[in-house]
Amino acid sequence: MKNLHRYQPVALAGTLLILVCVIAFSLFKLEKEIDEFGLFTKDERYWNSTRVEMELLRLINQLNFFVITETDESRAAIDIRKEILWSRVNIITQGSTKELIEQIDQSSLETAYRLIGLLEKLDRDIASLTPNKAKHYSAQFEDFVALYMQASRTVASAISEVESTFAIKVQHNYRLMAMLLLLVLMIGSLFTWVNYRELRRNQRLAREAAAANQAKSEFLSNMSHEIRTPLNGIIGSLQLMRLEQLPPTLTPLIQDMNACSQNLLQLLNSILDLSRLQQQKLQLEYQAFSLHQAVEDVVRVVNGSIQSKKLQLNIRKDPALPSIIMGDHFRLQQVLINLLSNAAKFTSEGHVTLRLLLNRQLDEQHYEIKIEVSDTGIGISPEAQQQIFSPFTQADSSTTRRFGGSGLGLSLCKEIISSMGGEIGVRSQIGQGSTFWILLNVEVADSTAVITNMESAIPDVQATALVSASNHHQAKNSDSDRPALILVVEDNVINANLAGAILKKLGYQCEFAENGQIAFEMCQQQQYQLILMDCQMPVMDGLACTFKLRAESNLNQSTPIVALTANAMLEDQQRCIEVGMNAFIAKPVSIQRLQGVLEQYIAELK
Amino acid sequence: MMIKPIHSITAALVSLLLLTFLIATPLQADQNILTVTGEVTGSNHHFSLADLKAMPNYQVKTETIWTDQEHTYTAISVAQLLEKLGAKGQNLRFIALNDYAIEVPVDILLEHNAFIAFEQDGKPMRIRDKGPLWVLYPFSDQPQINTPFYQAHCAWQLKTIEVF
Repeated sequence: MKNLHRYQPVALAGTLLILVCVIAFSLFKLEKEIDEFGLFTKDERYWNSTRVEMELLRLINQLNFFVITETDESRAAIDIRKEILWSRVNIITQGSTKELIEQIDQSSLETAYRLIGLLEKLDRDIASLTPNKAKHYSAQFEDFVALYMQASRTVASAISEVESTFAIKVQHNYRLMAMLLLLVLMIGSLFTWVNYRELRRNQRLAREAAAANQAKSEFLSNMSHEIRTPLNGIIGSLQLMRLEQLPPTLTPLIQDMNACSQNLLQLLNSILDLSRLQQQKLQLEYQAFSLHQAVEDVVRVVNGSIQSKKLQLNIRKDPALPSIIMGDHFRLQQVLINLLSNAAKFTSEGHVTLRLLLNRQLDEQHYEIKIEVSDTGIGISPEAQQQIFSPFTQADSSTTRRFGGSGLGLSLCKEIISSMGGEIGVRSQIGQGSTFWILLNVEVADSTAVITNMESAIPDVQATALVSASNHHQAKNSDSDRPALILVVEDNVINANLAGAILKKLGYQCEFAENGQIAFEMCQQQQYQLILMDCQMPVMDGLACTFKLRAESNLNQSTPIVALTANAMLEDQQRCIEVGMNAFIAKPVSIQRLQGVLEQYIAELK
Repeated sequence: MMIKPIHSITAALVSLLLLTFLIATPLQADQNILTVTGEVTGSNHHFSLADLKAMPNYQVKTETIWTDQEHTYTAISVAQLLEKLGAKGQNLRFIALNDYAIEVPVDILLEHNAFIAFEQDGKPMRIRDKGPLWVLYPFSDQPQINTPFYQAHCAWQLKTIEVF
C-alpha cells in the first residue's frame, strides 16, 4: 500500500504524458488530413473538365453553324473556337495539372491527347473544310462531349464524397480531441489533488517531526537541568569533604568521585548547550575581549592533559591579528578547549599545534581569522570525517571504546561556530594526524571596551586543588569580631546545607530562607552583609524577591545580592542584573568563586 | 460540265485565299488585338501587336504552373501601359477571348511587376498557347506569390482591359 501511494503521482504523470502524446498525434493526423484535403481542392480536374466540355460544345455549335452557312466568317469563327478549345486541352496536358493527372487519372490524359489529335486534324483541314466534313468533325467532337461530361461527373462525385468523409473525419477528430482534453483536465485535477494531499501530509509530518524534535530537546534540557541539581549537591559535598582531614586511603576515592562528577557535569552542560543551540535558544554574547588572553586561558586549561601525555604544545599566532575583538569569548574558548582536548586525547606522541592566522581583511573593521588545531595523532578516515560533526558520533565505535567520550564535543563546536556565522572543518589522513580549522569573521573592537568581569569559560578543572581551610579562616573578618552574616535563600535542603557548610568553612555565619517570601520577611527584621539568592524557588522566586527588596523599604535594600542558579545562560544573568542583583554564580558552586565574590562584596561594604 | 471545273477552280482559289488569310491572321501586325476602355484619357484605345512592340518592352524569364518549363517572355509592363494611357482607375478587369474575366486591384499588379507578354521564347503566341496576350507575374522571382490568388490574375488570351 505504501508503495502504491508513492507511485500514484508517477502513474498520474505518466498517464498525463501519454494523453498529451495521443493529443499531439491526433493533431498531427488531423493536420495531415487537412493537407491532403487541401491538395484535393487544388485538383482542378473538375474545372478543367467542364471548361473543355463547354469549349467543345461551342466548337460543335460553330461547326454545325458552318454546315448550314458555309461562309469565311464562320470558318474563321471555327478557327478561333478550335484554338480556344486547344488552349483548354493544353491546360490538361501541360504544367502542374498534367503532373497531378499523371498520378491519379492516366486515362483522362489519354483522352486529352486523342482530342488534341483530332484538333490537329481539323487544323490541317480547316482551309478546305466543307459542310460535310464539318458534320463529320461535329460528330467526332460529340463523342468527346460525352467523355468529358462523364469525367466531370465522376470527379465531382469523388470530390463531394471526399468532402463528406473529410467533414466526418474532422468532426470525429474534434470530438476525440475534446474528450482527450477533458480527460487531461480530469487527470490534471486528480494529479493536483494528489500532490496537494501529499504536500499537506508532508507538512504535517514535518510539523510532527519538528514537534518531536522540540520535545526531545526540551526533555534533554529539562533532564539535564534536573540532574544538575543533585549533582551540585554531590560536587559541593565532595568539595567540602576535601576540606576535611580524611584518612589517606579515602583521598584517591574522593578524587575519582570528583573527576567523575565533573565529567558528568560537563556532559550535561554539553547536552544542554547543544539542545539550546539546536532550538536556537542559545544567545551568544557580543562583547569585546582580548583574543590573546582568551587563548592563554584556553592553553592553561588544556596544558595539564597535554603535559601529562608528554606532548609538545605549539602556539603560533599571526602578529597581524587584531588583539581585541568582538564576540562570545566564552563559547570560542569552549570550542578551542574541545578541539585541543580532542587533539590531546587522540595523540599518543608528537605535538599539538594551535595556529591563529589572519586569513584576510574584509574591511577596516572586519577580519576573517583562521584558527587551526593540528595534531600528530591517529587521524580520521574520509568516511568518518563526513559524520564526526553529527551528535553522538565518533570516528568509529572502536575509538569510542578505546578513547571514551560522548561524541558531543565536535557537534557542539559546529553548532557554536555556525551560530557565530563561521565555518568549521577537518583535514586528516589515517595515521597522519588531523587538522581542525575554523574560519570566523570578527569585528575589531576598541581595547577600552574589554569587559573583564565576565565569568570565564574555563571549567573549574582545578577544583580539587582547593584553597586551604586555614587561608579562609585567616581571611574572615579581619576587621571585625563578629563574623559576617549571610542569608542563603535556597529551597533545596541539600544545597542549602551545602552552602551553609561552605560558608561556615569560609568563616561566615549564615541564616536560611526556603523561598523569596520568607527571605523578604527575614530581611525586614535582620540586616545581612550579603544575600545568596537561588533563582528558581516556589512561592516567590529569587528574581521577584530581589525586585521587591530593591523596590520596597527594608533593612536590606542595598545589601549585595548574589544570584546562585543552575541557569547559566547569558539571558538569565541579564535578568538577574536587571532586577537588582550584584553578581552571579552559576551552580555547581565552586568554593573559590564563592570565596572571591564574598570577599569582593563584603570588603566593599567595609 | 464546264461549271464544275470552274466551280472547282473557284473553290480552290477561294480556299487558297482563305488559307493565306487564316495563316496570315495571327501574324498580321496591324490587326487590333487589345482594347483598353474605361477611365483612361480619351476614348477606347486599340493596340495591334506592332503597337505593343513599339512600346518599351522587356524580357522576363519565368516558370508558371501552366507550363512544363521556364520560358522567356517578351512583354510590356502593366505599369507602363497604364501610365501611357493616363489610367485613373483603381482596378482593372481583364477579359479573355474565352470570356474569362477577372478583376484585379491596380496596386497589387504594380507591386508585383505584372506584365503583358506577347512573345514566348521570341515567337508570337498562338491562341492554343494562351496567346496572343498573356497577363503574368514574374513568378520565378517571387515564388511567394505563386498561389491561387495571384495565379487567377493571369488571364491568357487577353483581349480587353477595363479600367475602373
